[in-house]
Amino acid sequence: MDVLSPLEKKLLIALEKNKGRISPEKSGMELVKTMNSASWLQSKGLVEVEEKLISEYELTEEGKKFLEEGLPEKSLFKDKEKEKIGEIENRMGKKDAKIAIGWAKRKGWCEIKVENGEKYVVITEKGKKEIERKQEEEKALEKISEGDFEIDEEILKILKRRGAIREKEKVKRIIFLTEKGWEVVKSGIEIKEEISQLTHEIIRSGEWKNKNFRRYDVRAFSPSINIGKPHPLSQLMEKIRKIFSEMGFKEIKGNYVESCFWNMDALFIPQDHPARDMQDTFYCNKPEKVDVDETLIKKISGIHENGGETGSKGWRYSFRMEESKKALLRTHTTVNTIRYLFMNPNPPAKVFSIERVFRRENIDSTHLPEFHQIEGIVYEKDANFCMLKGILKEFYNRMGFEKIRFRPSYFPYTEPSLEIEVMWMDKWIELGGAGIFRPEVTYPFGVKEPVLAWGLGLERIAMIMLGLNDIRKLYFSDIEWLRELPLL
Amino acid sequence: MPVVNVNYNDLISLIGKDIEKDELIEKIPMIGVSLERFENGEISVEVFPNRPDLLGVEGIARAMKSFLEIESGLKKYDVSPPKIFMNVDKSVEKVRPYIGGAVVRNVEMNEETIISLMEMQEKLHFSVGKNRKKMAIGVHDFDKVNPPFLYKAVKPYEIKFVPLGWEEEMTMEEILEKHEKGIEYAYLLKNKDVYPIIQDKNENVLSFPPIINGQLTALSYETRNIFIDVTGTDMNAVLSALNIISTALAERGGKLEQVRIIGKEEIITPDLTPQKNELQIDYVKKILEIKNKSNIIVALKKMGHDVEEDGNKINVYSPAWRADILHPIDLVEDVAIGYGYERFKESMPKSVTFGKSFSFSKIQNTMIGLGFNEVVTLSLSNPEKEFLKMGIKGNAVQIENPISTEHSILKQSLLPSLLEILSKNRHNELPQQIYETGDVVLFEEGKAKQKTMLSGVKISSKANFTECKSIVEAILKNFGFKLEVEEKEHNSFINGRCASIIIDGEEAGYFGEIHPSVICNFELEYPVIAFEIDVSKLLPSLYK
Repeated sequence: MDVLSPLEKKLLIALEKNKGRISPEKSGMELVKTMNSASWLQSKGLVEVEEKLISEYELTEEGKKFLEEGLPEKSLFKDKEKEKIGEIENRMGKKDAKIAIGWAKRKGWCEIKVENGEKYVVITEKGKKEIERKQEEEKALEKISEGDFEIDEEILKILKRRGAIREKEKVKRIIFLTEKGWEVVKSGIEIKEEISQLTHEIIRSGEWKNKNFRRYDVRAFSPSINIGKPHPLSQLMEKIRKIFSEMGFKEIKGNYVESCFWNMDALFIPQDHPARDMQDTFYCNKPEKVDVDETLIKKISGIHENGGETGSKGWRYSFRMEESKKALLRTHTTVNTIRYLFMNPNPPAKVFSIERVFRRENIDSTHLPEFHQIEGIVYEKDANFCMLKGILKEFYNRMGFEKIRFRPSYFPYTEPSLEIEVMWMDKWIELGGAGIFRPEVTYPFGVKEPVLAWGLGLERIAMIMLGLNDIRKLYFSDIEWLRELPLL
Repeated sequence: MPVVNVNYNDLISLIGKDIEKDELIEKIPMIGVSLERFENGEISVEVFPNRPDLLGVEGIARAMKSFLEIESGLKKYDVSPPKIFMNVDKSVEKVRPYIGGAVVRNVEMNEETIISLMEMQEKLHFSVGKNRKKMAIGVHDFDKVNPPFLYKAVKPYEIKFVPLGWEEEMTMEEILEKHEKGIEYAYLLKNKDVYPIIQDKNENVLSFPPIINGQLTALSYETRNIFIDVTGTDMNAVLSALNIISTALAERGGKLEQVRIIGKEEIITPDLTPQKNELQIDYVKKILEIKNKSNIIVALKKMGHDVEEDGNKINVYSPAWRADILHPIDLVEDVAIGYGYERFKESMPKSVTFGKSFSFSKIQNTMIGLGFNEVVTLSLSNPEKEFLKMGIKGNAVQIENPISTEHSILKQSLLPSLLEILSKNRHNELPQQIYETGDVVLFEEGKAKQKTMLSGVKISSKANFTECKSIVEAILKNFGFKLEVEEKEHNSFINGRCASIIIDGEEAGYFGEIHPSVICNFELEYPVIAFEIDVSKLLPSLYK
């Protein structure tokens, strides 16, 4: 049995000496080491550990006093064979005197006599003998103070009644050899020096050639290491970047602070649209305004009012040009793509962005005032609805979603519009919106071919992939949580 | 977006054909509404703002009936020519210029009708009416009053009447002060010196739009004939809401009768003449790739349009209550919905383009190699965190309408948020080292200027300047730069333990040992080192 460690061997030897049964405190080894060895030996079937609930006792304050000063009934008789109760009370205190007299009487050490109307305590012959001897109670208290609890039940009862001891329950363990354990012990145990930690010296000296290596318990605990990790959101972003660039898309970036013009007007969102309310959109004080070319504003105002030359009726209201320069925090990254189209009106183009957007939402488990959108467009001659479905399906397939469906939806700047849902754990989950930019959006910028566009949620994907039900966890990082998270 | 609650049995009886729940659940979203719930016989659907005609069970039933081809094509209602008229006084021009009206006879008033009418009214007020501003509806028991009616504007104290839900007469002024609805909508008449009112020939008050109706014309189970008024500041919204609500009552068996509105011009409402639009077949084919013309026609009919083939184009006659058809593209979408989104075969773009992305993997690999955990923090912050706690002064983009004082500006450095994360992680094991790559927005010369930064912090009992310098040096080495430093004064750092990072002769960032006062401000108790580097300097190739 060379799989035994020196500690295990030591414990087995101790067990053999003690006829196969030992309490862990008496193994002659440190308690922790004994218990570890016992549990290893137990897993090998060589020992069993028996656990019993036993009573232990400890001395109360009263008990300690008895032990130090002797029982009170002993100090009752101070060189006198006969004493007035009143005097005893003066000497010992009324309460102690009462206890002492009570016990002395019960034990037959004294009698109470009345002479001339006065009560006297008179010691008996038995009393004279007993006060010179160590009493059973005293012996028991001594044993208890030393941790020995093999004491007569009657005495324990008396001590408890006298409030000298209190009882505690404790688990008592006994390690004993199994049959298999006895066989191993009988076949002889030899303790040989073994190498545990291999060191520079052992390697260099060649000492390792003559020694055995201790076998380790490969299941034993090892401390954890904290390594650096990317955040799940940025892992997801990198994955999406890779997918879109593999599909021929170029990434673009934009700014958080935008004008109403680019964020709203250029996208044919009417000025009284609820999404433009102070309730839903963050507007800025500093800066209050963002520069926008006046001629562009004028052009777009016509589109809103009567459709301009797009063949549209327009929204038919009077457009307030002064609203257009108002500064806001962009509410969608569609503003990135419309700006891109304005700068690059000739097809083809495939661009995408994964960036933050801001909506005036209070923070709770499903809402944050800022989050990321996965935005993209395909702009080419004869781009059509089937391609929009195709490209979105391809993207989500590559993200690992196999079942995808599309249903009608509405956005002021796309027509037809659709909502994308993916199947996740047998449930349809909405992941974003898409559509073809309306002519009112594209024509004014000289963009004459259909533009397929989408804006998808990033956090939602992260949440379902990580099984999160609280979006806040992504932004208010608990380092322990991040340390434990597997890579996506 | 408004959510409409529809009783399943009511919907089925209006459709007039039994439809299994499962089929309904599958089909409802396909007409272009979002199914929220189907519980205890009640269906909740979210209606998109372009289709206010679906804001009630009657409209949804009408659309479903057509979509399921139980009765497809343009729905026609019998409308009797006007027997009554409404005079419009020019005094209303400055306060609420537009009005339309309709009479609906022989309406069977039951619980469903009343509930549905009230719900629809509320939803229309909210969406089409923009909270009664653009448009508000009044529904009256027609038999309690005598036409002709008069729509005029009067002084706030001039007329007294009993408003709905009250027992005593009040002036309009008093209504705005005391009546629940008056208080709620008083802002709509703020700074107006006259208020609009509708009266009958005996000067009985029907309505004080857009606030409250008179108690006199309140609906009851005995009501048989209804008069509807719609007033507002936007003619399109007024007429469209009138069409939607009056045809909804017609769906319940009511008989429509027009009203002559005599103002500056004379109009007759409701006007249910279909809207005619031309749709080029090639346009539909281009956008949707539907090859077969008959498929286009079937789809349009399923969506409630009538069609007339005309060579290369189709003349489409659309219901008067569809206010969302601005451009032929809106009909193209109806073709797509009618055809069924699921039937379009996916295809791929044909153009060849080359992909390129702003990959941050180089930064990620470097920081992970150094044992840093990446974090992501909000861009919205507050001056206390950004400046006060950091011991510095500065400018930032400021939000006019923040959700809370905690989120009132845009962060102009990543460091404060990283320190905040450390402060939230005091219960976790040290050392902790975290980093973030993200955008900050500076506010300079009245303009917002956005930059991408890489920032990291480390808290440990032994963190010091030398370690920080080693970290920064290691980072720069990965990007092919040799660390060049200059002394820097920065109040967040211990004086004499902060340095600028110089790349190509320009400051690209800074690093050092955080000042104990800043450490204490973030309720931390161990040394902290920190750095922040401009990513455009580190990875110039990304921005080319």
